[in-house]
Amino acid sequence: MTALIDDRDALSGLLTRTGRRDQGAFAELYQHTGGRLFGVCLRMLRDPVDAEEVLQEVFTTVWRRADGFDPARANALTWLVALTRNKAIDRLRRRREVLLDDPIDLDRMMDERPTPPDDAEAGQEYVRLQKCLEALEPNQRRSVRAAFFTGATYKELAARCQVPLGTLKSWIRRGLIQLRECLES
Amino acid sequence: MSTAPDDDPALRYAEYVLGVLDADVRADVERELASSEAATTAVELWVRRLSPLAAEIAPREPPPHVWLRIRSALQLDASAREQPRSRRPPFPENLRFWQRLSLATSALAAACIVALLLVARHPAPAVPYLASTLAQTDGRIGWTATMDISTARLIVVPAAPELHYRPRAGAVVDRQG
Repeated sequence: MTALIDDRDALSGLLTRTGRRDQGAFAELYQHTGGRLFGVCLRMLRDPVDAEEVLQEVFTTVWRRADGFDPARANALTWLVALTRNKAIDRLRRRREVLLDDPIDLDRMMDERPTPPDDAEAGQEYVRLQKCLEALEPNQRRSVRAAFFTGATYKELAARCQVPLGTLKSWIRRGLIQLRECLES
Repeated sequence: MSTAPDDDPALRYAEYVLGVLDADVRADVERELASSEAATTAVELWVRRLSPLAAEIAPREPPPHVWLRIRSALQLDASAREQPRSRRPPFPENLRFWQRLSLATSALAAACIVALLLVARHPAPAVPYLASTLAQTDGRIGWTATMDISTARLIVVPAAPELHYRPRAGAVVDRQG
């Protein structure tokens, strides 16, 4: 099931047909993207039960809202990843216990690319983003990456990275501004 | 570094997409998204910029019951399965799922012979629940098990609760009846 069709037209077609209540297309969409989106859930939530529940939420939402997907406006995989991250972040915010005592070592962990994707497969957008991230000052790059993969708030990230809140906010905001400039150039 | 980050209101959308806002501020942005096309466009732009980073996350196979739950929650036809080509009538599929679950149940009720007396209470298109009884070694009915298809939950209730809740008996079944 982890067979990935990254042919965006094919995924886009499946998502569009799902929006027209085509159950076969919906099943196929799950087959092709469920593994990738489950990976995102697991990485952010770090709890298999939560990850399964969020994946379920994602796909029930896909079934109900796929008619709002506009292939001219978004790439299907991007749309699905954004929905998944959104649901995972909502779930993280609802958690009572915050993982403040779960340290992130910015110097070591967050510069890794745990599974360096094949650039050709990951697409041009990834290659561009990666280049722009590499152009950032290391603390900016690491904190933006840590934020993306953990879905943690500024406050949680500051505690987990053991840096003052103001410093962390500044790293991330400056990093985002530079990313925007780099990606638009 | 010429731009002062604190003075850039558009950054709020980037922070929303990145996921660093706390629940209250997040809710503010979502309210704005419901009414403002400009906000929606800004968020979409940041989604396009940042989402490709997810390509670094290795895919992981979700367990098969996740798809089953999705299908049940949406009350989809059973034919829309993982293997769309092997089309089977809806009921036997549910039966197989039920049989797998009943095996798990029988592990809990190790002293018993599991007798599957399937009772489908409602016909297709949606089968809300399935019920079965679990017999003890003496043939008497020990439990009633109900499978709620819509929530993928299995509820096992002792037929004679007093037999199973005696002091110190715990989950041990009274095999003498």
